[in-house]
Amino acid sequence: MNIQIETSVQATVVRIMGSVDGMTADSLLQQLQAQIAQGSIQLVGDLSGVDYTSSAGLRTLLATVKETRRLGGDFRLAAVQPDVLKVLELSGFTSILRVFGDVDSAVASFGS
Amino acid sequence: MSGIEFQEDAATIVRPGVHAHLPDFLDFVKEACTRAELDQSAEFAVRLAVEEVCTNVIRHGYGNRDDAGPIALRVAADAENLTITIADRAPLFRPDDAAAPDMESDWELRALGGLGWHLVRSSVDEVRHEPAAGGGNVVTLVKRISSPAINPEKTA
Repeated sequence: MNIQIETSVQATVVRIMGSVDGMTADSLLQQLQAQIAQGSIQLVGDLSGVDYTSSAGLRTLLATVKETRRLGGDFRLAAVQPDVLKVLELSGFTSILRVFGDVDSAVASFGS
Repeated sequence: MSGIEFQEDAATIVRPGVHAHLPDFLDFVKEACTRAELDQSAEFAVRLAVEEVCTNVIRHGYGNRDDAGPIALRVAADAENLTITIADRAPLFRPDDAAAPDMESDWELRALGGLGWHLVRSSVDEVRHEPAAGGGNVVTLVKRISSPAINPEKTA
């Protein structure tokens, strides 16, 4: 798993590539928490490059949502691949996470 | 199936039940999925079920101990099914006792865990658990080779 970070005025986009599983989820959480610690609380997770997630990945996503929202921000997801989206739906995450079709829409949602 | 041996052969991998060996089990299953010609979505589902079962054994069965006992994972495929058997020597557990996942609470109250068994049951067509002869657990996962990947309707 790799991540790239791109900061704009409205949000910080975290592009995640690879598998978010029991081997990588903790590393992702640390990197997301590092962004939050720097004051980036409007986060967009670009999941277009994520081909797999397990409950370990879900834990990281939920922990980040909770942390950003408690600080007045949010962690929103974009471009989620179908199999990963099924896991999110199956876990009841789509009722608490905001999921957008593409990164631009997710970033723009912070401006409205 | 409760008599699984903790001995490696072409269809069986045996490793200590510690987190560092999780990739070994997942790579082994990935190769089996490729041989069985599962499509990408079905392979995703099998990998998910195996990761969740192995993680449960490592974390809850063996308590994340460095001196954990073994996990044996065996694969068998025929024209219709890919069958994966995961055995451990951890204390007996009952999957049916696992709490139902919290799918309804608001985000503030939503639990960070508790989804593992729910995902296992949703990812494969059959899940069986039985006590192993001489102690431990044997979990059998069956994926129909022709079935869809993850089936939310099944657990709805």
